[in-house]
Amino acid sequence: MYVYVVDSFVQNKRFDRDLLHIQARTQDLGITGRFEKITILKNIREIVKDAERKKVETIVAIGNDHTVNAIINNLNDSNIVLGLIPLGPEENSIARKCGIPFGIDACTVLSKRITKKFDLGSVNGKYFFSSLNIPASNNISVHCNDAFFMHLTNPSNLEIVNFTEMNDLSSSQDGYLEAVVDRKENSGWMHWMRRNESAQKTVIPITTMTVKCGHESIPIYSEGAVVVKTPAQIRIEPNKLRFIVGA
Amino acid sequence: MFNKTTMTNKEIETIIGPSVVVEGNFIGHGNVVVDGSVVGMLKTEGSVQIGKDAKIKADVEGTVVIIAGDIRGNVKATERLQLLPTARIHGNVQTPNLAIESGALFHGKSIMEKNAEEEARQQDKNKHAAPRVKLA
Repeated sequence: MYVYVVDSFVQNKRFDRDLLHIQARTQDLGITGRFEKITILKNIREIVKDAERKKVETIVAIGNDHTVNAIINNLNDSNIVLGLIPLGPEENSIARKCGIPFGIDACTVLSKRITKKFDLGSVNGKYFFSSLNIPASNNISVHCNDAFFMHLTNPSNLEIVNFTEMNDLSSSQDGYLEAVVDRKENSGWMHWMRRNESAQKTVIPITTMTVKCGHESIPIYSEGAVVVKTPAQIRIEPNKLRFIVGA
Repeated sequence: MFNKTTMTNKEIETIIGPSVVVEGNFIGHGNVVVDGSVVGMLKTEGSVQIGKDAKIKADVEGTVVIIAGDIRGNVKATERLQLLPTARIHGNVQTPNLAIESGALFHGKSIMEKNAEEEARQQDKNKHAAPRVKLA
């Protein structure tokens, strides 16, 4: 049985036709299910809990990366398979990476049901699928794998990556997160002079990480939104998610 | 910098860049490239490349170790150790295959011995080798 979670932005009139076509297509393909819209009265947590209670096998996000992340953060039953029908022009890196076509064509992918297990990252108990961003700061202290400290000699952005569009899909199935330090880019001629240096990144595979920033509390972003503030415990959760992918 | 011996980007799994200092016991599984600083220990099951601007105060262990930077510590390479012209090592090295290029600085003791696995393989080879035919 399927439950389709329709994100609030998809309830905009411009997606009405897409939704109607998707509903019709799911019936044609024999993957019909309940379409649950996220509203002020019914949030994503209630929809997912209700689906778990009714022993639903597959939850399909109709929306974008934010919709997927919101569902992941409310899933307790690891046997539930997650699918995605991407809609909207922005924030759809997960769909692109997993070979899921946009709109109605994603229904065919769902019906083929090629399921893969993916690692998820967790930060202070909240899950993320793609990456975290920690903005450049002076006092960042990072303790990795309970074995070594990573000190940044100058303020640099720190990114914790499970997968990006640039990497191979297998990078989110390897049991590691990657800590990527990108030197803060200067503008003007100094940046031009140092262009070769700024190309040199640091990439360190990690399984656990503790990020502190002295007595300050700086925000940590995922998909452009603040998820937590430092101090933060970050770890990999191997094979946590079963996700339907394209070919 | 590393000419023929350079690893391709696909093989590199860990890069410690110039803006990073790693302090503690770094234990990796794949290939490691260091252009920054490491204090403590650096050990991996893959190969290690130490860039010319790298500063290492640590014991280093890997299969193939190629050094162009500054190391204060012992180095163990289970397959091959190569010191490039800009390399500076203050410590002992242990490897079955050592190459020191002109200009490299090496203060320490070198122990060159085949590892046990390779020796066993060699002995096995000798056992199974075809018996010599005596000429009449």
